[in-house]
Amino acid sequence: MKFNYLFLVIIIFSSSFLFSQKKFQVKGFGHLGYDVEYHEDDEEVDLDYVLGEQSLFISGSLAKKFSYLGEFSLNYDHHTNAVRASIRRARVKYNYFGNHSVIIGQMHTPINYWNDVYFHARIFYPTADRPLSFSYFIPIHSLGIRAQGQNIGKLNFGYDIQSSSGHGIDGTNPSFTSAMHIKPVEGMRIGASYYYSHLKDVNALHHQHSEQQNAASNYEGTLDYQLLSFSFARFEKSLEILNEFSTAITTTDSLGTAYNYSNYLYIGYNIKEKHTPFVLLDLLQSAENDLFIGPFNQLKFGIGYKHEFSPALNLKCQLERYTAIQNMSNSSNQAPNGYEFSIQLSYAIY
Amino acid sequence: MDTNFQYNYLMQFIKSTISVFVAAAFFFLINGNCFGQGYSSRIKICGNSIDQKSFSKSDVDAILKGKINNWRNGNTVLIVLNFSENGNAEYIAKQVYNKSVKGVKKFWLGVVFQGRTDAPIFAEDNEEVLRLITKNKGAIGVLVDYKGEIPAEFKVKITKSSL
Repeated sequence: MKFNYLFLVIIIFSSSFLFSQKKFQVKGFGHLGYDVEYHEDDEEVDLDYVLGEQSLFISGSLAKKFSYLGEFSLNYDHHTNAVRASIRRARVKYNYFGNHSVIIGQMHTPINYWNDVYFHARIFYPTADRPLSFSYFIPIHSLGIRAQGQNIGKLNFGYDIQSSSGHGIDGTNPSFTSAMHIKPVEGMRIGASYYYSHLKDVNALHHQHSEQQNAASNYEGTLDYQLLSFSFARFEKSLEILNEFSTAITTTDSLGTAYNYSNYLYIGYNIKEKHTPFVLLDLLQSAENDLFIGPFNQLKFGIGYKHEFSPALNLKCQLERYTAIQNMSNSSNQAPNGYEFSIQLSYAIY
Repeated sequence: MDTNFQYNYLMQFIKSTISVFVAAAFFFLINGNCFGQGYSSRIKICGNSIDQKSFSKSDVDAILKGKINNWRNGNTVLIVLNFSENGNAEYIAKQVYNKSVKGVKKFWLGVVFQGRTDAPIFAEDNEEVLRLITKNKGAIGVLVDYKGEIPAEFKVKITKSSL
């Protein structure tokens, strides 16, 4: 808890300092919600009010061609009844030529559209939750150095080449990311990426991420982790589409190479920039010989509705069914079955 | 169920998914919006210490959409729009961004939180745009129905052809 108070003090003092600099902008975003979950396996219903992540966002100019961006969040942990402070992004960007930059610090790994564009801001999420792959495959944050190019040529080509600390930002696993995308027309982005990390101790990593506690967490050896991702996004038109596909390839000395897959699909139809009914389909499967998340498969599908009061305030209602993928094995680590209805109010202070 | 069956099942799914989205991408690609014409005579562009005195419309479009962060002279791009509620906001939103006012605000909200560039300044009138342009090196402004004389050093000419 000491750290939380320290965090608040830093924010309060730095805010007044930054405001006095005038070239800095302080913004924020967050969400609140209510979840009703029916667990089919034990026939229980959970009702929860959700105090979602509350974030402060600071950006500004440091010197000619140098800029800073910071994102700090407070999260309420329902299990421990504690508030957790996190530094989500803290990076300095040097725009050395045209649309080419070098960025140093903590960033969101430019793996796919979702992680590169939405960050932690629920106001931008098309559905209430992140894709399943974010709980298992996606190295959300990374600390390191990145070469970035944006909006190059008529196709608005963009690239990211990054060397950083790997999964969980534990500072011990070096990783490499290479990503590229094009934006051929307004509102559309097509991208692909490759991520590589050498994990020295998978067991230690699992202890940092409670969602990855499973059979594979007993594995104490090294693991080569490769992630190939493909994204297609189309927004700013009536028909909205987002598809996130990932293949996680894990290699260990003991069980060889395992191929794991996930695909998230969102289709929404925006009516008068206010009403967006949508459907979602999300599936994930890891192989029997995988030692990163263990053999596992899950399917999630649902329908929802987003109501936009303004660009800075929206309400999402979503009903989803989650279960294991039929005709798949992995019975040793069976996904839970159930239904979830969630209401989420997302906002940005802008 | 053996591993081969699972692998084939997934590969089948992936192949079909990718082909649908590649086809969709090309469909939307050929249906994309292209605007080759200049701005209407109601709109005037001005700038302070920006690289050139003359730009093509597509170059100005790119600048006003936040695709360029810095000028070649090192000044940071600062966008100033006459976004008053007397109809100018709607006019600029349509002419420059091909969006509604709400669409423009939503667009900038996304761009700013991604950390790609700073938000534009939404000025109340033409005079405020000129005041901010005078004050900030690297600022580029959009005026609507401005009847006065723009100072010569801030005048920007729009050419119809791409540079």
